[in-house]
Amino acid sequence: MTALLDIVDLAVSFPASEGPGMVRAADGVSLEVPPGTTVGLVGESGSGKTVTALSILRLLEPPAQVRGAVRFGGKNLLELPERELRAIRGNRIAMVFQDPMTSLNPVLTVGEQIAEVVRLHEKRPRRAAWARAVEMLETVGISSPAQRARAYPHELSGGMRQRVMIGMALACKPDLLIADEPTTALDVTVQAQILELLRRLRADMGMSVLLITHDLGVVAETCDLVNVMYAGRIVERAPVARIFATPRHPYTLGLLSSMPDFAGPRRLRAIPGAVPVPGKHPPGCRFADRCERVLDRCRAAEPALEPADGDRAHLARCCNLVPKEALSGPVRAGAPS
Amino acid sequence: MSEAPLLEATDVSVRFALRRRAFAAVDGVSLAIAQGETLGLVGESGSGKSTLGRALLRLVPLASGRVRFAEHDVGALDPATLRALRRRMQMVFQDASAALNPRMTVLDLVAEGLDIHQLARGPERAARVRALLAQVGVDEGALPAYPHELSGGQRQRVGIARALAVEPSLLVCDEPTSALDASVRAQVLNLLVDLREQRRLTMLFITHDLGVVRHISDRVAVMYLGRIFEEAPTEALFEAPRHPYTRALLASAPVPDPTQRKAFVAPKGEAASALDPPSGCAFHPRCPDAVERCARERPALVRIGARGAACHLHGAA
Repeated sequence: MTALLDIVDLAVSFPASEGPGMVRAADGVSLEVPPGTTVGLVGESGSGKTVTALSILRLLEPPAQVRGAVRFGGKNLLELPERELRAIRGNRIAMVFQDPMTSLNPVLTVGEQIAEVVRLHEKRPRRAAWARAVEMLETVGISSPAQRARAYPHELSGGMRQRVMIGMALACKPDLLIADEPTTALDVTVQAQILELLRRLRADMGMSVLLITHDLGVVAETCDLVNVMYAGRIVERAPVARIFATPRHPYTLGLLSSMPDFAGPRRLRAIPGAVPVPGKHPPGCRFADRCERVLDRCRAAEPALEPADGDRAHLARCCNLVPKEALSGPVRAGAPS
Repeated sequence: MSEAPLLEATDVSVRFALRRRAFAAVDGVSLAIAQGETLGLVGESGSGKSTLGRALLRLVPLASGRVRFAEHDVGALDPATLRALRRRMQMVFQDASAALNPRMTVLDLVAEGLDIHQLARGPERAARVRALLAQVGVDEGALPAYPHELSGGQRQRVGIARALAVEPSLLVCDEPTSALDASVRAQVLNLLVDLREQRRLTMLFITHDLGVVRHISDRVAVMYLGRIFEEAPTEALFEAPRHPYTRALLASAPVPDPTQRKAFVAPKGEAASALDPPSGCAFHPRCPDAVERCARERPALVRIGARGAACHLHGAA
């Protein structure tokens, strides 16, 4: 099956905050989003996950530099004329951000904002666009949608605003939804509603989702395939069940072991040190300084993202893979029951 | 509990005014924390958990009720005695970069409590700060640094060192790990667990994170719209929650195991506003079990043994 979205060797650079030159926030990132799947891009702050997501629709402006290719529908989005890109943005690829308040226009009602998207992209007349806006509000589970469509963003709660953003993103039935931390700002009961909504809409509309998150619980609940990023690099990629059952990269194992939900009352196996600042990575493997499995050769040259023990569905960027039974021990105390 | 609890709140309410309307952010809360115990206070935004934490230290005024700490009636203390007592009750905040004065060095930030309470000066002051930094895992080289030069994890460690400098017996931690990345959050949680043991600290740990609260607490209180809805020993609460809100909260938490994936049964709607609280039980508009009485009559928190739930239907079972 050919991928819906194919990111090839993407590099995103910013001017260094100190001194001349550029630093790479994302470096050599390649990943695919197959049709109808939810692909997770997981990492801590500074991992490069958000700049990767923003590069897809060319939402980064100079002085940021983006290199590589983003293939979608037989075209490289990074080289497309602006006019052609606009036909894809919102229409075929839509994006939802963490904070809906900064993405919504405060002086327009939410109905007007969704209707505007429909008018621009589908060239529908005003009344039909409004009807579609109300329909979308209903689809995303907002009660009394006709009435809520006349509300301004500040009159809605955080959860409802995020529903509006999702409704707006899905109004044109995109093939791909890029969701950047869509539930991070929400309370857990509201997060559960939004995750359930995304699952349902994905099943109903058959779209693909690229989900950017730092939350492994959210990954476990929603993703089919997972890419783990660290310091600008993808360090591990596998189907979701394998990431959680047999992580092969020490960083992924460290992230899982750091989760209080996993450890229960036991002492957490924290990863020592802090995420390196972009541009200040150690030579060789970027995780070497924090890694409990580090070898001399890890510091000599950076390993490539390769099949782990020849398994082509499970890639890891590591010279000293975590043995497969590492997590089958007592670490899994289970989550809140 | 044989000995008197270190901290005891009785029927505490805190009121704020918003657009000239008064509302109760905390509404008649009673709780007790024993010496050496960690009570987790969990709730979603607007539940009043942070306000309650601040009220217990009298960082916000009480509208009514009583807070007793050791032998002191915290609400009735004169400013001088309160100031002296603050040495024994310290707070760690979520956002260390906002809680630390950006124009002070790490040395002066950690020493500030020593200075205020006149506990150490000169070489002893510097030595105490060095020892504290060593204990929280910050390199001595950071002494002349300003907060912006530190990483988020280091800043939170400095915030903890600052609170510990005056050797408190009670530490109120308000979402101390929520702003941290996962790998660093685990370090700070381990640090707090170690310090609690070394210093026999009593802790109130305020958080919205169920995994964190389960990991660190001996006992958990669940807040919703200014009131405690349920209280129980940690494992009892997570294994057999009684209040429908607690059940909904636990069922909403993502499970970090893709083989256990199931449909979320999140409660419908969102938390009501304290400005316009529902009648009766504040959770009844979202509750799957609500009966007519729930809209009419507010259930009291009934404590039987170590457990309690404020629910007409599940209060005692």
